[in-house]
Amino acid sequence: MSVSSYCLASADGTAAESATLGLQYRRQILRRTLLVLGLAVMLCLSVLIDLSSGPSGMGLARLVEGLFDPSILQLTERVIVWNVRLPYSLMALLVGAALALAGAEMQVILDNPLASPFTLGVSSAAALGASLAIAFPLTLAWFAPSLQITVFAFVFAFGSVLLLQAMSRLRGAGTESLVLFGIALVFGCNAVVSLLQLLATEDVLQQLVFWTMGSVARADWNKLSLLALVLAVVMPFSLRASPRMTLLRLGEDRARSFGVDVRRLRFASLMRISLLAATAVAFVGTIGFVGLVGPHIARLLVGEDQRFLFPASALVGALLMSLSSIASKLILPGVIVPVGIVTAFVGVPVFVMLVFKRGKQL
Amino acid sequence: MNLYRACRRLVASSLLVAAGWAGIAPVALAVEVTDVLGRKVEVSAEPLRIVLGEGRLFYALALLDREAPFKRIVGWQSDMRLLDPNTYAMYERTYPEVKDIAVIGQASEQSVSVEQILSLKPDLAIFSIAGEGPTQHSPIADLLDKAGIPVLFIDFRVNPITGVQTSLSALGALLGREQQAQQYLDFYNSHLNRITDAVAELRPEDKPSVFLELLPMVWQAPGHTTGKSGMGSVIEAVGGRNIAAGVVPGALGDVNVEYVLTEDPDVYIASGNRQPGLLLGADITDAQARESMGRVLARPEFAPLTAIREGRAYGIWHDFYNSPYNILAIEAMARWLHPELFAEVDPKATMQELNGFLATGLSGKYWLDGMSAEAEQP
Repeated sequence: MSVSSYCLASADGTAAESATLGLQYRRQILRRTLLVLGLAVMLCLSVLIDLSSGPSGMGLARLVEGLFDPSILQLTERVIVWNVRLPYSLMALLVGAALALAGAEMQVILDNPLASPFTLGVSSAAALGASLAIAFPLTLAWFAPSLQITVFAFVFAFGSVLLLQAMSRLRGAGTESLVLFGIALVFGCNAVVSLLQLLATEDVLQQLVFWTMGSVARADWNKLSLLALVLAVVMPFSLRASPRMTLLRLGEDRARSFGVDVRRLRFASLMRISLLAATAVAFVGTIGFVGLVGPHIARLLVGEDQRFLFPASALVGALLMSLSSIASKLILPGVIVPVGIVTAFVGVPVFVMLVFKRGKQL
Repeated sequence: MNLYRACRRLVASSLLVAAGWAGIAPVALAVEVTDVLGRKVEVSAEPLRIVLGEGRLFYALALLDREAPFKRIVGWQSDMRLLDPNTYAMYERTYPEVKDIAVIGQASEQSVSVEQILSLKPDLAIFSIAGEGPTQHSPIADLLDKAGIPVLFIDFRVNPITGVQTSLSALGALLGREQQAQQYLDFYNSHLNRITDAVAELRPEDKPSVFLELLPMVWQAPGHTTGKSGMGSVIEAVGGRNIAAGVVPGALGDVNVEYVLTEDPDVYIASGNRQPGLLLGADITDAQARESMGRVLARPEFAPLTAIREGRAYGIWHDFYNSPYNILAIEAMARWLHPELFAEVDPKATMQELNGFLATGLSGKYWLDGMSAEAEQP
């Protein structure tokens, strides 16, 4: 919205007007940069709090000391640092960033505020893949069951986005059709998952349910480095595409008139979305709220300029997940409450507060 | 006159013979029992067509109908075949008719077909109060009541120890097998009391802390455990302190790895029944069990635990949580927690004794005594 007013204003404005506009624009840019930096600082704080909270009472000072000089830590403390605190905190951060970035891109290319990896079937497809692997594990020596769950979840999630993509290619379907197709995918996958749950035995059923709740307690360093790699690879492409995405936000026709190859833009974006969402969901299970609301919170803060919106979305998503990770340890001391349950508790108040503050602008 | 007397004698004695043969009172009287939920359950004659809400409730029936354990079962779910395939296969070898028993569901309450139960025309349905069959809040029980089919609720999983007593007495009375039920309970209680009597003398500080991890490696995250009910209550009964008791609010939950490391329990117990976790159960060899336990103990998360490093890590067959044979788990765990106190307790001998109650006895590896991690993790 704000971008379109700039374009129109600068098109027929006088020199003086455009000078003040330029100043305003620079101010706007500065404000947004500061907001993104502020988010980054809050994220750092949140991760530090997350790292320093846990039932053993090991404080941040000891943890940092141990990071620099591992020899001072006892075996137990070493496991707490390297197998519990660090992987859980970092996994929350990376998953939040990946899901929210995927959600932000999805909302732009589908021109729909309700689009997210969760609402358009990526999570459901991943859940279907994981359920198949849990219910019918292959007995292959080189293919560990836990790996099977992850791989199946990833393949199905990735496949679901490719299917969306194929739909739009084959039928030349518009964004509405894509959204509807995504929703059909959600119901289709959920039905098969329910059928599997019906046929499953109780402890398999518990595992299926547990998987769909989403938990960072499944994190390990291999998964962390893979997800970090995916984010590191995808993020620059997202940022490079962001100015064109801003144009797309003005409408498909207008973007075309600026020389944007909308079809290619959409295809590349869908590829990024599928990589981000599929990897994140495959590693931690279904986490629904962040991918949808992370981008909205970011939009309420920095506006529609996708150059800022993408990094801001990733930061907000990471922040939400990090706060959820803290909460998941505090709700029932000693017990891990799956973080997928907590995200909404943490995200909803923040979201509602922002919506009320901004009111009509949403 | 003589003829009349002779006839009377003949009738009377044949009645007695028949009664003795069938093991019931001469005139089939209505029998009423109170089940674990406090409900009154009445049968008008000895039930001959029984539907089991869960296939594994058969473990209890096997104790009572020793001669023909499957004769009265007309319907059950497939959970025994799916969850405990080795035991199922063992029975199938002796009783090939097992596979002809009608299936009322797969292994969950949702999959149970009421119509299928009704079509089997059972004269008694036996459900567990919790688990994968129709449970105590299931509308299926009400529906069967309306159809005039009595439903008996039993319980080996929520309150494993008291549940065995109430459930088996009720089953014995309804099925006309009081004697068999009583014999088993006498056996069960003599072994149980030896432990609970000694535990009653223990001071709280003599009770070692225990971490019971359920299905490690089968479950996707480390730390899956139980709170106060089920196997948690067995830990308390054998004189241990379950570190998850005050922490996990429901029946099941995942404790934080860090919490376990901080508590550093005196004893670590893993439960298991299948790949890729701990292998225990029917037809499992000692070597298989040890090899799988080695993998469980090699995970980095719990490797620093003193219990694991010093050889106080034990394994128990997971399905004891839902079985009247849980006395074996009770004895094994009592020995692990209090080796001096229960030095003379011999679960192996108890298993032999238990097998005397069964047509097809247990054979395989059902528990694993102390092990330590094979190698220190880097």
